[in-house]
Amino acid sequence: MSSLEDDIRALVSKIIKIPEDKIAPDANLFYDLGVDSLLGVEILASLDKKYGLDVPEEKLRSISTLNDITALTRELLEKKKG
Amino acid sequence: MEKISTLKQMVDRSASLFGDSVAMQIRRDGAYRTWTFNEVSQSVRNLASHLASLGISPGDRVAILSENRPEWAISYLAVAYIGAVAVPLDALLSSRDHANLLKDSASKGVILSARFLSGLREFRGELQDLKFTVCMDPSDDALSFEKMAGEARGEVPQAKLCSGDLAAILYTSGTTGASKGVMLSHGNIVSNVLALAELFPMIGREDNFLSVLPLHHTFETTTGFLCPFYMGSRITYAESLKSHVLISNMQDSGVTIMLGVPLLFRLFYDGIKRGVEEKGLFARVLFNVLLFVSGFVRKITGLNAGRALFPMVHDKLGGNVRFWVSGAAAIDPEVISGFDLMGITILQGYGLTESSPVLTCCTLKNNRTGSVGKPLPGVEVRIDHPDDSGEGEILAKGPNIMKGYYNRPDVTERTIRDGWLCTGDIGRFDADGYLFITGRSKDVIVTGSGLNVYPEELEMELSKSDLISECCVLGRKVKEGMRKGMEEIVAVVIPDAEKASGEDAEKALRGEISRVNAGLPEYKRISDIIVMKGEFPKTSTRKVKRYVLRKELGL
Repeated sequence: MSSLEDDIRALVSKIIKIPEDKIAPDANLFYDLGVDSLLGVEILASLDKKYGLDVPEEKLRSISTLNDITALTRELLEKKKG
Repeated sequence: MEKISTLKQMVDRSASLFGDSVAMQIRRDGAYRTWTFNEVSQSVRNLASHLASLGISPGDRVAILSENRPEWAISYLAVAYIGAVAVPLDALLSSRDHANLLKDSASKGVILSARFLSGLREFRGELQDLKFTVCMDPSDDALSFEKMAGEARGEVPQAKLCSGDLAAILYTSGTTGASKGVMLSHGNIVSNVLALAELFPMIGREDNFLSVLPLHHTFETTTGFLCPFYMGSRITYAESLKSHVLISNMQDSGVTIMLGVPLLFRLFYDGIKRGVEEKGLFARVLFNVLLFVSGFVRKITGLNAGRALFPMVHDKLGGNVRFWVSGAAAIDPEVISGFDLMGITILQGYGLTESSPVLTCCTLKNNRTGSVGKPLPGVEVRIDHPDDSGEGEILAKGPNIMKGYYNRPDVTERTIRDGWLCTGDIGRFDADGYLFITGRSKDVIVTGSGLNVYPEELEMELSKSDLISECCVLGRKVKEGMRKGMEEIVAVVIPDAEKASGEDAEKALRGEISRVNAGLPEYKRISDIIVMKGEFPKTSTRKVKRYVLRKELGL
């Protein structure tokens, strides 16, 4: 079974069209992988879709790496579970 | 009704012609809140009366800072209505940058949404000219937009406006020293709206524009806000930039026209392809067969069968899309032709903030893939000193060309020569008069989201570092990923021989880049660093020869 991080890496890879093996957990999405705000919002949108979340766009300011996205997703999933 | 030449006349005309039709709407808490043309006009006049009572006179500056929403549009029109000057601020900039621009423009008031209040508070002490703050959301710290737009305070002063009066100052950047404020008059802006209305007579009350691009951007202000307002169309403000929210807005509000930037259309296009792929092999084969059939029908009959062949795509987008418009940067031809085969036309246009902004555009009748269309009625466009292939700098003249840069007569003089706006873009006309953009002679970097980044601003920041002896910021085409073919920002640096030498030099320089990036909005951040030795190629006046450097580095 794949981990949450693997799933999110696959999802980010699909959006930004960079192979999964090039997306290191601590690579900066904005500096190293060329993500801009529009792509960033699209990554949040794909989290919404895959996990049934509603990630606020403002959260984009607080994430810069795959690790950050994974932690944010985990936090929101836990909140959702209640 | 006589021809209008000011934004005040536009407000009065639209209220008179379109009265109770819906002018603007936004979905809040699950339901659409709407404003009719009469309601917009009334709110504009109410707010204008309050601004006047707060001491705003013709020529005074009032800044506007918020995400896209009807209150932004009403504020802009209210400021213009009494002859004051709107200063739309880029919501993506930092509070420091906002303060710089408020100071530079000597804005007497600012109308903003609640999320910017704390940032403003931080720098409030520096803003000597700022007399009041109006908040679009409920707040105890500012005057209430809702109250001011809801009820007039005395009579609305009847400013005697003429087309040459200043209507807006649009800043190209937030950094002091690097920023230029483009001054647009009522006549500049209105002439552009009228020319576009002449080219698109089929747009009217039945149309519904989805407002996605930031409203401080002239492309959205003129074409996504003022054009539909003039033509009696409805504007739906997107709740979010998330594609599924945009699609949901399209579906439940019946959007017919959308203005976007290349990356947005690329995301839509890839989303459709991904959706097909996820449905399996049969769906993928069927999709490709339908694309082929659509292309074949187009070739044989000249007709576009895309709408009939791809009803599921049209249904997904609400079923009412007439066309989309792409601006601000070059769009991938694959995206244009892909959507075209599915029955959705993407029209391209071209312009600059300095030209209010549209200079040329394709229309449904005159559309040529890869071209940015023909000049607008009343606008002259020519190629300066064309080479053998007809390429040269694009120059433009017309009623839409700015009055100049605010407090920068030297830069204005360099940019407008003998009445011609020197665009800094390179292009050529084909035999039928369609303009093609082929390059750029000026230094500005244009991102895939259509945002301009001025290298000097970043160079100023980098040059503060002790580790850097010289630096030059250039645009480079992205080689892979979603942004392939679009521009990214690269810093070319020559390290200080003493302070940044040895094996760790590059690491230290990267640290400097991170430091600079941390203080920049995301779209201005430097993506990569190239370390060089020696000295940059320079002109006799010691300016870096960017084109030579670019060539040397193979960029």
